[in-house]
Amino acid sequence: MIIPALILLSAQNATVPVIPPGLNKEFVAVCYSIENDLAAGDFDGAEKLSELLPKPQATLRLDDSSLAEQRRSEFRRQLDVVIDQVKPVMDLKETSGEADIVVSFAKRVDPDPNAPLPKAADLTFGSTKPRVGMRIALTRTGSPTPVTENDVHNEIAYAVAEYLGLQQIPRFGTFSSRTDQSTNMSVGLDTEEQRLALLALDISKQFRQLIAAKQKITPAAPSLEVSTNAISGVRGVQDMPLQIGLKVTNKGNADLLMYVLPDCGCLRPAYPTILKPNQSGPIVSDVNTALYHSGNMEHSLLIYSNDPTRPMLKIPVKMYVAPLFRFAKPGPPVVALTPEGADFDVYLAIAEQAKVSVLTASLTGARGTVQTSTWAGALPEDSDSSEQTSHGYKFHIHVDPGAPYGQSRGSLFLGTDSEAFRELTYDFTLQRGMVAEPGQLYFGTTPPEPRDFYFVVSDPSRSFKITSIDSGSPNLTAKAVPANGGKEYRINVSFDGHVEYGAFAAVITIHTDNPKQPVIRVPVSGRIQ
Amino acid sequence: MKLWPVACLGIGLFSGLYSLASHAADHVQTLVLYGNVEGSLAPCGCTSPMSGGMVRAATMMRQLSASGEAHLLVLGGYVTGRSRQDELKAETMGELARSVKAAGLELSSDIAALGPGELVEMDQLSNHALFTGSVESPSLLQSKPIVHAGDFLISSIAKTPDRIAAQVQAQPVSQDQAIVDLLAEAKRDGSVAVLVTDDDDAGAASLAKSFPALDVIVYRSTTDPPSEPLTVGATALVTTGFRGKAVVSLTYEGRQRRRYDVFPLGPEVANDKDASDLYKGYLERVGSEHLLNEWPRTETAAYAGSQKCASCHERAFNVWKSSGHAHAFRDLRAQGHAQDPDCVSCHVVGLSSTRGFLSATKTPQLAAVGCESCHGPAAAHAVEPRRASLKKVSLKVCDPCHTPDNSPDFDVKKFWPLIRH
Repeated sequence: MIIPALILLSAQNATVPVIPPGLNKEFVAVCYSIENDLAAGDFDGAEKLSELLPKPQATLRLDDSSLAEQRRSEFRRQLDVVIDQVKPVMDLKETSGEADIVVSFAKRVDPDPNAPLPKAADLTFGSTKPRVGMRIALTRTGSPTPVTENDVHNEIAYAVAEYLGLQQIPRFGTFSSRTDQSTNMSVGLDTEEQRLALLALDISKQFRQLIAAKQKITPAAPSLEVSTNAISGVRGVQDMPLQIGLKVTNKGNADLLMYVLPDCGCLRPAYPTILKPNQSGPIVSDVNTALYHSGNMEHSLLIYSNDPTRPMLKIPVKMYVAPLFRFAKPGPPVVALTPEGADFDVYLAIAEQAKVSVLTASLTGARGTVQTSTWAGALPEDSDSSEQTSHGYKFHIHVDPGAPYGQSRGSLFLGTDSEAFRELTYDFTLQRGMVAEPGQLYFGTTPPEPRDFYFVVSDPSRSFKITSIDSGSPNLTAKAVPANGGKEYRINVSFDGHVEYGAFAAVITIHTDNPKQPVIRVPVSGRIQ
Repeated sequence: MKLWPVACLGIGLFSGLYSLASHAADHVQTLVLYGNVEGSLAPCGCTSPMSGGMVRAATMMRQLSASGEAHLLVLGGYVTGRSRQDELKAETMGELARSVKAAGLELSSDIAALGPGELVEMDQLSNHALFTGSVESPSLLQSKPIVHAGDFLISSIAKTPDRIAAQVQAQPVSQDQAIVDLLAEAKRDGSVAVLVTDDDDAGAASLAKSFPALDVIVYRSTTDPPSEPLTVGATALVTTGFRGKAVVSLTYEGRQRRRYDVFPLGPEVANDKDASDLYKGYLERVGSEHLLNEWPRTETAAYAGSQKCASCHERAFNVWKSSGHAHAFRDLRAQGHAQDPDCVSCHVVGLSSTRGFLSATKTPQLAAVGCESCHGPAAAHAVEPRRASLKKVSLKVCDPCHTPDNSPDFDVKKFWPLIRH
């Protein structure tokens, strides 16, 4: 009685292959079904199921009978490329008979008329050979675009990845990703995919050995439990440390293997890679708040594990990152230059928790001075939200007279002690006398056809007259139409389109009765194609 | 002659039946949204895989148009500043709207801040597609308060309509009034009422509670569009996301929403030829206007160039020399962005300094991400190392350039060991 009992015990304790995260649900489902059969002693059933597991020597049939001869040779070349690419993990051979993977072609594969873009291929898993069937549409997208060699290469690669048990990944570029787009990119088998494929093949081999030895097992069932299904209400400030976290526990009876990927480079998670049964551990992620944007952020942590019930768990993360700083300038958007120059204030409000100091303040693009003082108060744009007090700096800017007539730009340039925001710039526009708006007329990329445009010349301070206009090109005619009591003119420009292909450039010269600004020049440009 | 009354009756009956049939079988229409590019017209291509860009968006928009009846909207959040480069970007977005035959181009606060001249430009370049509900019809532009696109009626509101009004010399329209006008017209026509706002998801939710008859509110977001639209009552809240990394579509059958799709603009999306030409034209204009020379610069200490560091810091120099930093400017040039101020600042030493990078020919020693990109100007240190020591820098110094947008896969823990010195 003792010997049979020992045999039974050793059979029950046989090592069960550990299924790592990153494998597709079809592969995982087959593995767990085999485990159940082995546990129940149904070795025939387990053997039948093991036929569905990938093998290191596999076959692929390219059914291109519906294609024209030229396309056949193009696509067959792509099959050769895939066979070569997958060599580090498996020996894939083309066959004309029964195969593990069959790739075929169809005019169309998506019958759903409501889909915004038609599916470009469909993939099926069989319970007998072929294990994987891939049907590739001969046209892609609604346009439609004929399927290309790259597209065929990528779809074959995807079929191979699925056969190997790799889980589809959302970002396109490697074997286990796919797109319905027509793309000029060719995918490659990356090192992580190679590692996973070899693991899948090794797991398959271990199962076959267990089946051959007719060993009973206890099914492994790691179970992932998380302390929260969503992280929300997290608040931070740009460029200041911020962390989020949750606790994970393995409630199962086997080792839980896991890795965590963020859906954004702004999250940098640290996590335990293995948890023993009943063991817990933290997933903690730094948030990179030193971004060029702030506000509400919604991202996710994706937990990949060997929990058979949920191999991928998405934890949504909602955060609010307050801006580190913001500029405000009371008054009209354009600064009017008088004979004395111009004086105006610019405010820099810095987030309350932040410790950022302005080290230098200077003007670029305009001559003048900047006086810096610390400041606390309400910004004009916050006038709606009562009693909101900000703190930071006030810059009193004086621009010297003598700037050219028309509009020009200047910048307030600040140097700070923040490593992430070492330089801050605030742009402003100066105006002196009459201006043309736009100051340069660009009519874009256009065919050589007639087109009409206009621009406006104005001087809000006084009426004026346009005495003549020189269009600067035989292809342009320009006429002035007065408006707003003579303080504004609309200049209607007609382009006859009789020009060579390439860049077009001219300068429209407007003569006025203002002795201080007798001439306004407006460059005109475009690209003819 | 006696047959006329019968014929007329027949025609009348036929028209009536046809009209009934058309109402009974609502046709399927898709609203396609692209926007909030925040100045990112195209991924600069310096790292991989970057997503977004107008050349991919145009591909997607055209594909969706070809797949059925689709109406395209190009939405605001075009630019982040008021520089000449921002003007060129805004104009290029106007051209894009024309190229893809967009039904509407939002007149948003960010382009209004560029001044009336730029609005005139965008209005013309987009073939008069500008629309906003924030101001009464301005004399300067041919902008519309409401866009009629198939069964969709679309309007936009700004949080600060007075700022737009000030630029176009027109009367502002309050948010509530603009929405009431939109809903009144939508009710009359039996259309799908779509409101575009420059507020965030919370602001959009608040609007949806106040105006539950709105079918769709498009809000601004600093993150990717969610896989399912948010809903408040029957109102769908959708966003195009941030930096133009996705095209979003809403498919309606009559007034019933049937589908919501997000199309990420990853590298798998091919470049649209016409949009590529527009983008190429934009880069040429950036180059020909020498915008790099207008980059704001300030006085700093002098730079030495990385080669000077080698005499004392040979090991560190060799690590740097074999790193990607050493050929960062060369890589940028290969991508066609060597004249683009948006990109150059992260690929050279000291672009913001009067003594920093000027051009690859004038300052070749600074045409890379060099030692002084992180450690600061070091000419004085090179002459008198002990008296002019350089301050220590932390790994946070990586952050300004290695943002998630520019370096999607950047993880300082993985990448610092590659250049540890």
